[in-house]
Amino acid sequence: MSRPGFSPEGVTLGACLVALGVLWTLANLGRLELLPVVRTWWPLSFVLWGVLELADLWVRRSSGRS
Amino acid sequence: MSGRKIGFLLLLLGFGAVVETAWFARGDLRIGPEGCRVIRGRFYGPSYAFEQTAERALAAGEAPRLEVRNAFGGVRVTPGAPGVVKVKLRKVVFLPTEEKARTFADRIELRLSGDGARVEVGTNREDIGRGDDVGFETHLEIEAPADTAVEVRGEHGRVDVSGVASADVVSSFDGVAIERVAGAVKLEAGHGEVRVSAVGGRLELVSRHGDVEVSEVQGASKLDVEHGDLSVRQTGGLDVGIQYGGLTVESVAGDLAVRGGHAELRASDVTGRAELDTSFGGIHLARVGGEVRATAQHGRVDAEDVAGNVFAETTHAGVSLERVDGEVQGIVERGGIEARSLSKGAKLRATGGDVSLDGFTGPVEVEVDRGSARLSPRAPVASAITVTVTNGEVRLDVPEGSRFDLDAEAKRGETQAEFPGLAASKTEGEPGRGHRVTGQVGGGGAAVRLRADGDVVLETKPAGSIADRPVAKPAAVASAPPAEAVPTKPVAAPAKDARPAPEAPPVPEAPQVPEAPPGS
Repeated sequence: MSRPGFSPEGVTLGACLVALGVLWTLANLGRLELLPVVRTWWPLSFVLWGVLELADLWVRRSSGRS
Repeated sequence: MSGRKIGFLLLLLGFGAVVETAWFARGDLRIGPEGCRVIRGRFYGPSYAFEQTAERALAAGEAPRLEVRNAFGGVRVTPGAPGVVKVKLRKVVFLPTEEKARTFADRIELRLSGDGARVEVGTNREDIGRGDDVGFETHLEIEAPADTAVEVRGEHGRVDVSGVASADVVSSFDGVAIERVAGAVKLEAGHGEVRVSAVGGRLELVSRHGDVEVSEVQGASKLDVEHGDLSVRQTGGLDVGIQYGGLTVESVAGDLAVRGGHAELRASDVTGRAELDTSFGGIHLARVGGEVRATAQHGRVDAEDVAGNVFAETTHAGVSLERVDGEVQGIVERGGIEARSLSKGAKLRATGGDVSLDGFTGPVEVEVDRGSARLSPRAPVASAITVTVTNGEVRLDVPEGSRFDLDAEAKRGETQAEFPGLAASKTEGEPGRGHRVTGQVGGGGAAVRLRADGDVVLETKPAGSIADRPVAKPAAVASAPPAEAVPTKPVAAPAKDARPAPEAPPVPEAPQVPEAPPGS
């Protein structure tokens, strides 16, 4: 049973939006080039999502046993 | 999996696809007003070309000097008649209609100035274009006397210079070709292919992004190349700095010095000394008339047919030497050494690899750690041989007619030295425990001392020659042809000052996409 208020994809989406916003701002400030950075690191969104899914699964199983 | 998760997965994949597509399509996008330079310095859209010519007389008695400045467009300098500089300007305007293009082109002027024998060629680009949002190129074709010293400062456009007295060229974002120059050449190229040939004097070249080809340079050359391959053929003394590219050198009449990084170096037919240093790439040498000093990190060193001494040092790869007339010193970390036909002995040290010496005379010192040593002199042993091996074995072939004092010890292995000619031998210890054999071969002579943790094995072999052929000499370096004599053409008396010629009829052109400067 999923706990109310937490969804891995929601957290992932939020984190990605925050990261994208920060990178875009830095690009506008001339601190980095947006496209190469996003192109290099965007697959990490899958990693983040997967980790959160595993953590969610582990928490749910732990809650079920106790 | 819930529909929500599937939807989110598709969202992420879609985002990734957009990013990857944008990455591969970058530089080819067409955004912004037509004809305007929007991405990476490129103009695009329909264009029209117009021509304008001018000429300027040169003062007699002075060496002519030509200075050319151009921002967007090529520069071509070719030999022309004495006493006059002729210039043809081709204006390419990126606008949708011929009428608009012509109106704009009328504002572009060819400018010739200077005094005496000095001529400056340029355009009024700086005075127009800003704020007009119109792309235009100015291509200059110049004829100058053959004894002219030429200076070109170009940005976005190809530069070609030929048949002049000397050349000093700076080009930022396109290729450069310089040929048949009687004197010195100096070139700085930012992005683009570079070709320099038939230079009568000294060459000084810097290139940052692009392949470079140099041939037939009579004077010394100093080349500094990054992010591109460098090919050099038939030069005088050569000094090269190269990073992130490969180097191929053929025929150097003098010394060769190379400082490389992330570069594979190949050189052949060097009449003088060769000193090369690189990392993450190998060094390959053939036919060197002088000494060789080759140092590589993470790359192997090969050298064959060397008349002088050889010093070779490398890590994480091996050293291979063949036919060396001088003394050899080799140091290898995490690799082995193979050497054949050494006539003045060798001093070799290797860790993590085997040492093999096939055909040698002269004193030999070999030190191996975590590897074995195999020595096959072929010629009768007459000089000292010292071999020390840790965690490996030693094998020495003894050619018939050898004369030496033997001292061989296998610390944890067996010493096998039973062959005809070994006299007054004395054996100490036993196999596996300090097995040592001493004695004289052929009545005694040079000291041969062999030490190994493993076995020490000596076998007799028939004597022969140390090499199948003598050391090859560097191929003759053909001298670079001097700048060709420039045929002179009878010309009408030139006007003192520049005088624009009537414009040529407009030539509609296909949409053009000139080479772009990365990162602009």
